[in-house]
Amino acid sequence: MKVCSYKYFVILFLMNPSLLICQETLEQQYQYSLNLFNKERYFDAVTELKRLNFFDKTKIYAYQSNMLIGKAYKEGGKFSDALRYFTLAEINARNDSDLFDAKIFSVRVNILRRTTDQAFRILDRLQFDGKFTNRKNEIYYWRGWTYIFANDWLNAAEQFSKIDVNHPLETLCDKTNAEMYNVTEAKVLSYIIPGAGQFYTGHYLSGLLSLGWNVLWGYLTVKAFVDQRIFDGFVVGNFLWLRFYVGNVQNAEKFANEENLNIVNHTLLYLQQQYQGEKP
Amino acid sequence: MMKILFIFLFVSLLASAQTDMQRWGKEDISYQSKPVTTGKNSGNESASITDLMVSSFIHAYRILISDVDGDNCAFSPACSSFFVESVKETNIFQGTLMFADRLTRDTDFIGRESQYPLALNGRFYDLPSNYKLNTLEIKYIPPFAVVKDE
Amino acid sequence: MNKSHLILFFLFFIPFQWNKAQNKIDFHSSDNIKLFADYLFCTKDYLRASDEYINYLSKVYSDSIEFKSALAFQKTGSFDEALRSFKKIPLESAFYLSSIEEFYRTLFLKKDFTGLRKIYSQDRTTDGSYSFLTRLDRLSLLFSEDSLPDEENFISPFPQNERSFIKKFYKFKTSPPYKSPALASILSTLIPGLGKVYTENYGDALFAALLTGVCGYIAYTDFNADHKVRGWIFTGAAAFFYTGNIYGSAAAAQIYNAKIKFKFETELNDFLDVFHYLSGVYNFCK
Repeated sequence: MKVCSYKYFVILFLMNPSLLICQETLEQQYQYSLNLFNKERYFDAVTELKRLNFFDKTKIYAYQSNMLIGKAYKEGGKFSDALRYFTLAEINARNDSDLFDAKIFSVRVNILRRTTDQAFRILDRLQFDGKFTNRKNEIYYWRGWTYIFANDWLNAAEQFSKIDVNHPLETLCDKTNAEMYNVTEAKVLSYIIPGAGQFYTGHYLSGLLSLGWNVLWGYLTVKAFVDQRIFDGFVVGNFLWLRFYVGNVQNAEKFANEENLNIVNHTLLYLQQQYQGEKP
Repeated sequence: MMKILFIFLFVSLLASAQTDMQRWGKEDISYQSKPVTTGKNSGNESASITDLMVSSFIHAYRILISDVDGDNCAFSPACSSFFVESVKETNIFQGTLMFADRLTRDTDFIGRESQYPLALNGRFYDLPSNYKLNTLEIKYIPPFAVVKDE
Repeated sequence: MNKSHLILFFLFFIPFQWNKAQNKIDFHSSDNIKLFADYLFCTKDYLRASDEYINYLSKVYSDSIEFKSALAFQKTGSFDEALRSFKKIPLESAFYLSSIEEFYRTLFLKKDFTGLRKIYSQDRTTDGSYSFLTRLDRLSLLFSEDSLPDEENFISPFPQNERSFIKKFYKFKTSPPYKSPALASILSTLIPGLGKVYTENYGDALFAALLTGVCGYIAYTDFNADHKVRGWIFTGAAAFFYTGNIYGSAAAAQIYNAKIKFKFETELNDFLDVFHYLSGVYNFCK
């Protein structure tokens, strides 16, 4: 009797479907997705988050899951998709803090894909919205980074100095800006004396050659006019002297930009590999 | 209408494929910018003596003249590079003919936008392989399309 | 008896309520996998949909899911898997006829034109899918270098609204309006630049004529003024541009031919897209 009733209990117990099937809560599914994300399995993380979103009828996890999907796409370099999901996260924000975080991530993606105009627009809207004055340091910080990627190191330094006068990024940006060549100055120097702009940017051979050619063709042009060979003067002046003169100014600009690119890339490499603070 | 069609096709072909059609993983994004190219490249190994002679001559020309009078070629690869590549890929005679034709096309400033596609640096994309009189090597790319080469 | 009933009650009822209270979902039940997979399919996330369908089919077989799975394979470019899956749809299924059509379409997308034409030559059915197969057979001929049947035979399988396009494609394929590189060269030999007029490069033609002409003229005046060295330099330059233009006219003719072939292929692909040859229309997603 006892044995029979025991079996009876076990059978009924096992007939309880909710005990047989492995069921999870939304929280467990979210944690599973987060785990995949942390293991850098971004494609799978997005799949599981989409699954979570699909079954989350009351949208409790809408903000968190969309943010995580956006971050996964960001890590995978898929910026348009990332932005789409950060926007979805904004729509499903539970409070102002969530909204701010989602918008900041949109700014960071725009920085990475170098659409700095859009980043500035979002930051402007955040700055002029009274709700976020307590987080203004974050706005300055990311505005500084946006200026860095927009190649405006002076304004970048100013933004970082608003957070802290001795901010490490402020010092770095100031230093980079100081090292850079002034492109207009290089061009003007070459307008006045052919080759001077090239000397200014350290390209001595090119500067000398520019000077040489311009002197040669200039001399021949003037001599042609003086000797009343007007047609020859025009030909030499237009096809030779002008060409080398314009090329000289173009080179001054080109070298200044090249040197600046080297300086900027050096700083950017440091920021990417060695700087420990938060990065886009 | 045709122009729009061409742009659409090539932008869609050359841009990255619809994102999640393939599994993807972490992408290391570099903060650094790439420099803008001018179309004058040094080229690689030379095969024969004529190639070497032409290469050296063009190198000297570049240092003394071409690099000093500015980047005037509307094409990428620039005319001097085109000449070196043409000689390398064919021979000195055919290369010279290809170069003469290229100089003519460079002088012609009428209607180029509707004839050649664009390189990333904004110049017209025009490879020697289209002019070797070998139909198998001709790759037609429509005008206004931007070629993301290497 | 009472005690055992009470124990039963607690053993059965409480866990059930506990699960409900916690809002537990079986994410990996067959039904839920199907719902999620269909959602992914309808939002065009075909690779993920494909993975979910495979998961579902490993537990439960359903012809509609097999069909959707095959479509997902097709959309993600896994043509061989798609072909295998379409073949699995049984005769009794509501999707059988569609699966045959999709099988042919997948062969076409895979560019297996030989395979497609082999099936066409062997197939003896007379239903709607045969008509589709016939049209695909004709279209595949436009992509290969095989000989085409006569015009009437080629165009007849197509509906009225498609015939004007098919006629155009047929005309191009049978007699493409290519330019002759030899003729271009000869024309440029006679008059510098004429070959490039023939290949419709009018600007290049003008400048070829100008460069050759101006250099020749300067050489002529130099020789007349007894400037022998300058004369020979400009003669060389004139010869340089003259021979370059003859060569360039031949190259321009070849590029012209490549250009019209490219235009033809673009228009053909657009036609295939617009008239649903590249993807079927289904109402899985409302």
